[in-house]
Amino acid sequence: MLDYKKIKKSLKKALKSIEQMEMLDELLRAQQTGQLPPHLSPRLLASEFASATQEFIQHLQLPMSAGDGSRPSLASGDSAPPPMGYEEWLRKLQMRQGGQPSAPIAPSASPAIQSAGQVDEAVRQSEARLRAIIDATPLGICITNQNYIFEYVNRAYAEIYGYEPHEMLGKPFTMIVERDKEPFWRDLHDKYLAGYKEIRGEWRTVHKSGKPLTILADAARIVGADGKPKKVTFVMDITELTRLREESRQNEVMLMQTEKMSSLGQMAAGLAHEMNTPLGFVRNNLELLEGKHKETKELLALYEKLRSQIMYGSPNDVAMLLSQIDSVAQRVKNRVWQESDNLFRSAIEGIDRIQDLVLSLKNFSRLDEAELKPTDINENIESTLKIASHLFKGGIQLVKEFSPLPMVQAYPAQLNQVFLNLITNAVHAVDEKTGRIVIKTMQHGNHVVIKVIDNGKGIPPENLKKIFDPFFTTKPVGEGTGLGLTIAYKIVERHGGKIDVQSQVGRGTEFTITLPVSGTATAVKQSATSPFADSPFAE
Amino acid sequence: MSSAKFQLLLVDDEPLILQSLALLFEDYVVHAAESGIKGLEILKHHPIDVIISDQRMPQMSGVDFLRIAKDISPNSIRILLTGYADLQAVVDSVNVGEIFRYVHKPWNAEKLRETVRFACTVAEQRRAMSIAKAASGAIPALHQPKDDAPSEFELLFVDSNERHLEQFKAFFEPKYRTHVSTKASEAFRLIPNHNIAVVVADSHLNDVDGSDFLIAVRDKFPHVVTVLMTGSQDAKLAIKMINDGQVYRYLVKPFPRETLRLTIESAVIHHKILRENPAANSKTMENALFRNADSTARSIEEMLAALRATIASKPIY
Repeated sequence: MLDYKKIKKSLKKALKSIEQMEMLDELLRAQQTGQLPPHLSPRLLASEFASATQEFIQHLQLPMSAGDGSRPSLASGDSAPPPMGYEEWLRKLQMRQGGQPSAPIAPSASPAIQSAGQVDEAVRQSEARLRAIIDATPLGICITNQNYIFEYVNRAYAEIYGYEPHEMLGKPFTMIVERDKEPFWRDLHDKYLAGYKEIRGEWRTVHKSGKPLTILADAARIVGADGKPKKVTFVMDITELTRLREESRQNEVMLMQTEKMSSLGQMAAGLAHEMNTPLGFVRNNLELLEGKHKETKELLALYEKLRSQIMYGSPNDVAMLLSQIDSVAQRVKNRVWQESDNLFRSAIEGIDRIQDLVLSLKNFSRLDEAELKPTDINENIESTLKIASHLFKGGIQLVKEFSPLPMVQAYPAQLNQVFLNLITNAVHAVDEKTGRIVIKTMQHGNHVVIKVIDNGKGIPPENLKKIFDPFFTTKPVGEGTGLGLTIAYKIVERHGGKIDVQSQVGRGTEFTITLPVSGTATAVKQSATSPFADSPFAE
Repeated sequence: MSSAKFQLLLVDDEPLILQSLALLFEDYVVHAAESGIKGLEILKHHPIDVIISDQRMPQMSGVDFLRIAKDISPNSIRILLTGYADLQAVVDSVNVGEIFRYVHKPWNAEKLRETVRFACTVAEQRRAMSIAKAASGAIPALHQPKDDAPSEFELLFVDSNERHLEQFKAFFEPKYRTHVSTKASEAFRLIPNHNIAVVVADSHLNDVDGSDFLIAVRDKFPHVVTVLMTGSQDAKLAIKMINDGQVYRYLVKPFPRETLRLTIESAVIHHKILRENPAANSKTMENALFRNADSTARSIEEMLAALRATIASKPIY
């Protein structure tokens, strides 16, 4: 019985081979007239031509032998290569010629194949070659049938799971999945054979030894020689890769923490001074006032005594008390007394100042707020500047040019870390006396732009391309982690924005952060129509 | 004596600190300046006994101000009063500012009053002895050309590293007879038997802490000048050396030979001044005023024990 479908398919392929031959022929002619680069040798073109011819003949032969079942067909329904474009042919040929001359596809250099015996031999060779390639590839390949049985596994596939190929053949594929997940896998297998597509991805499977394996898998559907659908699965062991990836993710988290601690540490020193100064005069004022208060109490006690002496005592006693009161009153009314109102006032002012600092610290860290929220960038820069205010004490001029900005969907605490880093860098770059730092914000369409511009020493071009690299620092050992800008870069990237730098040695540096207003970072999905998570009122 | 005749100079960029301090010292003649530059101006026109300065100020830092102040008015006693000073500033305040005390903000009113009272006494003594000329001699000494004539003064180096000790000895002999020791206890016994002007000790010694050793040396032999060498800068240690040990210099290893030579040269001159004018020495004064009568202690261990008790009970830091 003839399989018409198969014959049609093979004829289609044969047609494609003819097209390829045609193209090669054109190429050959073009080469003879010198229109092609000379390194494309006629020999190579000829060999390609031979191989295309061979394929053509093979496609014509296959439908004839399809019925006898002696040869399992691996040809998958939609695996026929698309006709190649001229450019692609060129590229492929050049590559082959420059690379491995020992791997010509065609077994013979003759442009045409004469006899049927030769064709058979060619087919046999081609198949052997294919088999060799499949067995040598590091990609695990297996074929499973509708009954979940391994019909074929290549060497790499068996090796990934720690078996010999013969240990797997004829057994159900569930031997490599977790016991309690078997139903799920069988179900997936059924679905896939029935046309379900979502199978490409990372999966957890089990090694012969029982240790878990993470694999990257993809699959194809084929029709076997028995006319039944089969699943061809391609597998790569990515267990180690996954572990490394997880490790590096954890390292990154740790490094970010380190950098945060280090920049906070530097801030703490400055903040200590900022807080200790008001603490200094608040405490001193209170001690002065405490002393005064004791004297006033003493005076009040003398007054009480005087009252009773006026009632019951002698005029002499009264006179003595009065002079005593006079002398204490004299003592009370010194400059501390005269200034006591001011001392109270400035004590309160000092406490306000400390409160303000504590508040801005809290604002800076944003510990008590939702991570991702609509953020007022101007306000965030202000609170960062407050934290960094001590840096500007040395006479560095700070210019703020803020424009009204829309709210940006962002992680405010993270952005603050970026701002603090850029501001600190700018302060370190400028001269303590003539330094000038400009902070600009503006809206450009759907983006918010933040610029930190300094007139400092600038970054030499050879360093400029390295500033975002991890651990690159020009500061002495122990002073910078070399991670500040790396993390700034990552944070801005996470917000879907970008960070650019321009610098001129001796003139200064300009950092530009561009953030999308909508933000790419999305948090909790919010339904516009209903307040309920699983809305009973959905339209 | 009434404190009214003493003149104080307060330097802080925070006006409320100045207001508060001025009232704390209302018995004194108080000059207040909001910057180092204004402070220097006042210093030029008034005989200031005690300077109290902040460290972190715009334009001119406290240490920079005190360094120039030392040249303008060498007899003024210098106190650093600050909320925070980085390590370098603390070390500089010893080596460059030659400060008398390092006081933290916020301060204790009564303790600060006492420190200042004491500083005024030292300043007054210095002036009375009119040592201004001699004291200023200590500064130009740093720029003196190298002089190889043998000196009558002897040096003592204490370090757990014997190779360092050999190098020190080779470097300073024959100009100065140089004693070396790896042990504080041994070094301590050496001092009374020789004409030792300067003791240089490493912070890490085999038997006791080098900084404690130097504090003990100053306490027992107030005319000996002490220099601390240390492998790492440590603000806490430096502050301790200022407040308790009146250390003359704080050197961070490794240092250039020339630094050590200049340090020793000026330390020897400092020693000369101390010996000739005991009043120039705040340590002698302090001992006379505050020391408990434990002068019988002879060994370093007894000495340290007594010293710790004194420091703990001392009204000044």
